[in-house]
Amino acid sequence: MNKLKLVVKREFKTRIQKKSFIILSIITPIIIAGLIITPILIQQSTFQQKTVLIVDDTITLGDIMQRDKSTKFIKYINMPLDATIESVADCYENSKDTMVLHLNKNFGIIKNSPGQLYNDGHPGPGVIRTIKNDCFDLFRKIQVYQITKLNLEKIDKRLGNTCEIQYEGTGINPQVKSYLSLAGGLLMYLLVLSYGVQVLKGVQEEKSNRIIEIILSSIKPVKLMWGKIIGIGLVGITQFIIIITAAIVLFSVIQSLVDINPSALVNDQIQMMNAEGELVQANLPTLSAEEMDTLYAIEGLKSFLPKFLLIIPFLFIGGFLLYASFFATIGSASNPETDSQQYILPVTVPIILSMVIAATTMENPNSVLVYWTSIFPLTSPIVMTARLPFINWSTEWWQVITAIILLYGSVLLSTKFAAKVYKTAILMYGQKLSYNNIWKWFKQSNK
Amino acid sequence: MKYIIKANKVVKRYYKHTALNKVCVKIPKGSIYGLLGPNGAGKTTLIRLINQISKPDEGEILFFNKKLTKEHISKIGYLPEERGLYKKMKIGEQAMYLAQLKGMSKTEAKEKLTEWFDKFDMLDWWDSKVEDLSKGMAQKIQFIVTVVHEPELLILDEPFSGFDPINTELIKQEILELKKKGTTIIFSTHNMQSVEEICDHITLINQSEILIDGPVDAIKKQFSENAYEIHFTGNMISFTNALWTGFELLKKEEVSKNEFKVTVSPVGNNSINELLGAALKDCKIKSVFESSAKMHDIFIKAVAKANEPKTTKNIKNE
Repeated sequence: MNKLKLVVKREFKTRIQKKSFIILSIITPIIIAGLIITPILIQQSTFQQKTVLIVDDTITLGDIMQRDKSTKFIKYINMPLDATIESVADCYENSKDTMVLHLNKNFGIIKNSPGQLYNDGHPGPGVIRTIKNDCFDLFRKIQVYQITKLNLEKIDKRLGNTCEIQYEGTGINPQVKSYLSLAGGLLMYLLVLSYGVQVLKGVQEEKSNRIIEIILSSIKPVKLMWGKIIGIGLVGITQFIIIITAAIVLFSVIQSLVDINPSALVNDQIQMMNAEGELVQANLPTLSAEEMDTLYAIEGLKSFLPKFLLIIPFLFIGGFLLYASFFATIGSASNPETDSQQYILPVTVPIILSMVIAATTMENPNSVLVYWTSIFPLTSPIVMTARLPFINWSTEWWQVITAIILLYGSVLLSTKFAAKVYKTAILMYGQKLSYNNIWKWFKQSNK
Repeated sequence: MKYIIKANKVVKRYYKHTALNKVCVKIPKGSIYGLLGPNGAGKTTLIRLINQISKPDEGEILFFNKKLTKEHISKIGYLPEERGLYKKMKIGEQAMYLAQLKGMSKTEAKEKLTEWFDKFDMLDWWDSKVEDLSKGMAQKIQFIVTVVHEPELLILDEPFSGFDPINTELIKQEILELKKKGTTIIFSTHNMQSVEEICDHITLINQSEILIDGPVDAIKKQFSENAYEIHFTGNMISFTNALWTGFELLKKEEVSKNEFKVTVSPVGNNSINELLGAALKDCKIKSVFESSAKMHDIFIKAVAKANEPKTTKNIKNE
């Protein structure tokens, strides 16, 4: 058998049989879900119910919002049709937890006609976003059933122009996008970091238990290094496939449980105003707001998932190879008797930093920081993954491609460097790990 | 004579340090070839070059007169001084892996390994992990994976370290057995007694250069001092009196009261018979034999001599 294959097989087999692999495959999704849910739970547990008084000039939204969108966090109360913004403000004493929402009659229909929210204190971006989302969802709900049932993309394009809310294109519910972004980023972070460190440990193990000399009498050092990296990378891919498959299975289960047939449920007729200001009849489904959310999420995910699954492997393999080559360099150059921690830190810092930036992506996907770090090779594997749900595929596809090209360019350089250092350093025992020595060994193998 | 390895003016440098300087070695086929030298002399470097773990900067190494290529990897077995195994991996699996890396097929590896494991009484341990083994047992596994692919050239670096006397004997017998079958063995060690016991040829490397090279017998002869070791009981003064026959006393060791071991050397062409005749009057001679140079002494003498001029020069410089 080909020697490289032998090494890959050993690295793969010994790791995949470990209990830790199975445990990690189960625990990783739980950790990710926990990390996403915990802040939300904390936020919710400290949340005071807000009351939003709606002065509704659209005639359409107020009632439905009061009926469908009131939750234990936000309670909508629709004011009588003759109420004006001044009279409401007079009648109710404004407090931190009560606010007034004024929707003028063109809200959601023509551009630049935003609703106004009045509050003594600032209600916080979360509340404003929730109110925006609620309005957005209602409009969408109305329009979906009025025009083309579930032809979401078309509607979203139209709504994007009129609803003053800049969610573009893919049709995923904004909240689902955020979760996908965070979950993707976290998954990538955990995989790149944990499998990168496994390369480090694997190389250090061979060096410290001195089997290296026996193996090197049979196989070239560079082949051994590649065998190790590929073997461990395959374990990472296997785990990735397990997690994604689990997610897709879960997704299908939810979908089958929800099993909503939208057209059959349309029986609620409402009046709504069209762009010309005339009242028209519209059909409204009797689905609950949560059911609608799930429906949208499923539809959105269906259109997003193929792109996600196509791009993610490139980002994972590139990111893993990049960091694995750094870790292999340090592993081969480290001395079993001395501590290599301080040399590992500079490698782990960009990974951790990527995760920190990725976490901000769900709040602010279009920031300059997110933009550049999603293209910069050291951070792109994680940040781009977190950004993927927000990418507008018709105009921003080139950014994804550029990030991938730059990433693989860097991989080419870093693996070449790693192979050169590894070749010499792996048999050096007397000398301590230092940047000077790494450079010395790199130059020596260039001779 | 047929040589399995010929190193011609081999130079190997590490950064600013020269590990081997124009080294020439010829290793006869079928011999046990001792590779000796102080720590840091360049032995391991030479071994790594033969194993193709690293490449020479100058010169060449030939395997049966052909330049070393990767085809030769399967013809060489190497047991390094610092050797280890994967602690968490099953022994059998690990041995299979290492054997296949040496180019054996899966079935062939399984068959030969089973034979060797059985021979060393280790078959029951096939599915255990290395961390469950004693040091001696791990050493046996390492020996097995070094020889399992039946290499033509076996390189053993301190093969007896970590073995108890019984296992040392077992391994020694295996080495001699392999030699009988025609395997050439390069044997690197600091244990001079084992060199005397099993080596046919030696090379002594010191400070990157070859100091002594040749068959063991010839080297011993070259370093012998024309001396005799005498073991006797009796009075030391009387024995000393007998030395007037033309001998000088080189070494004296009191074994017990009135029992001595001495080393004497004739001055000029005097016969040992004259000394014995004179000594017999008052002493009882227990044994006499011609003292040949010990490998241990040759090593120390040669290295000290080689380092001498340098040391003086250094002192002068200071």
